[in-house]
Amino acid sequence: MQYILMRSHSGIFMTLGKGTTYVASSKQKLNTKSSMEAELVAIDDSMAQVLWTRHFLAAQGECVPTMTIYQDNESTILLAENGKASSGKQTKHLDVKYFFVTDKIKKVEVKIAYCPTQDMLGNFFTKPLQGTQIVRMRSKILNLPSSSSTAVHRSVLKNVKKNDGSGSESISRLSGTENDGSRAVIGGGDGNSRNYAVKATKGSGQD
Amino acid sequence: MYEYIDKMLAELPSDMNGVSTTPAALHLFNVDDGAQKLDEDRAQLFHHLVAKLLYLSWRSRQDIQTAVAFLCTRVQSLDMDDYKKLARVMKYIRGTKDMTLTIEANDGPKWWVDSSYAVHPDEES
Repeated sequence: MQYILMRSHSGIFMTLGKGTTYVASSKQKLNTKSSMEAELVAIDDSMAQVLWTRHFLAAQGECVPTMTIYQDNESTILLAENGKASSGKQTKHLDVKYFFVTDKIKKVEVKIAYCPTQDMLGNFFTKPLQGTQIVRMRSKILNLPSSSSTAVHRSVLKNVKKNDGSGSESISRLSGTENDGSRAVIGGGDGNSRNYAVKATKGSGQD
Repeated sequence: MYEYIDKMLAELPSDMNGVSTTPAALHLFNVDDGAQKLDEDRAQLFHHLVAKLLYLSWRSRQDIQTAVAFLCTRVQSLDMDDYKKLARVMKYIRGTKDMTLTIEANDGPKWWVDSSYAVHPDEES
């Protein structure tokens, strides 16, 4: 017997200022009845990582009292904040497990804030975006230098018209931006100590 | 990471030539059951390249994460459409191979969580 499972897709994005420090894009493990429910499941998927990050930063001496999660679905925000109390006909069946977040909101460890859909960076990890949307979000997610759009066009042209030449020049230009203090360029080619420092944070972010 | 990307692009078969501006088309999550299955050699190549892309998507190219997440769910039953989707990601990488991730910490942690409803039409018995 074959069943068609129409499962939803979660997208989670974290930043410490600029550039991503944790992303997840994954198929959800269960079927949901509505997009509101799917958003709640996505929040639940992110909770383990959110709380772990909070504890990790606290252990580094960087205490974050309340983690902010941005959501673009207002009914999900209400449902997560009020828990079972705001469950009506449509959400009666939801497992108490998915109201774990409600408990954390009550303890002020986490708060959920509204973010309009066009600024929703999680969107990037749930659907294949096109055109200007992908360019705008990509520059936020990878924290590309503001002139990067020209660099992209140049590398495209370079591939079409000639094989080499401007390539190494633009690579060194990108690597050259890594010199002001807190910035760290990943994958800059040269295996220097900055790469190791980044590896430490990246590695711990995934485990 | 540049060396890794260049090496990966150098060993691609010729049907993945060309460049693309986005890593996936709008029909990324659509699956056609009638599509022609991949032969053994190509399936192995697919597996190999997706594993490479997975590493890349975690390290410095988070922008291909969505496409790679989908390709990873497909390795069990590959068809020609999946191969074309993989080719699209490779073309995108070729067009944007100078991009890297830059992390700046100047603000508290912030999270964005979103979902898209009922996009995976996979089957289970």
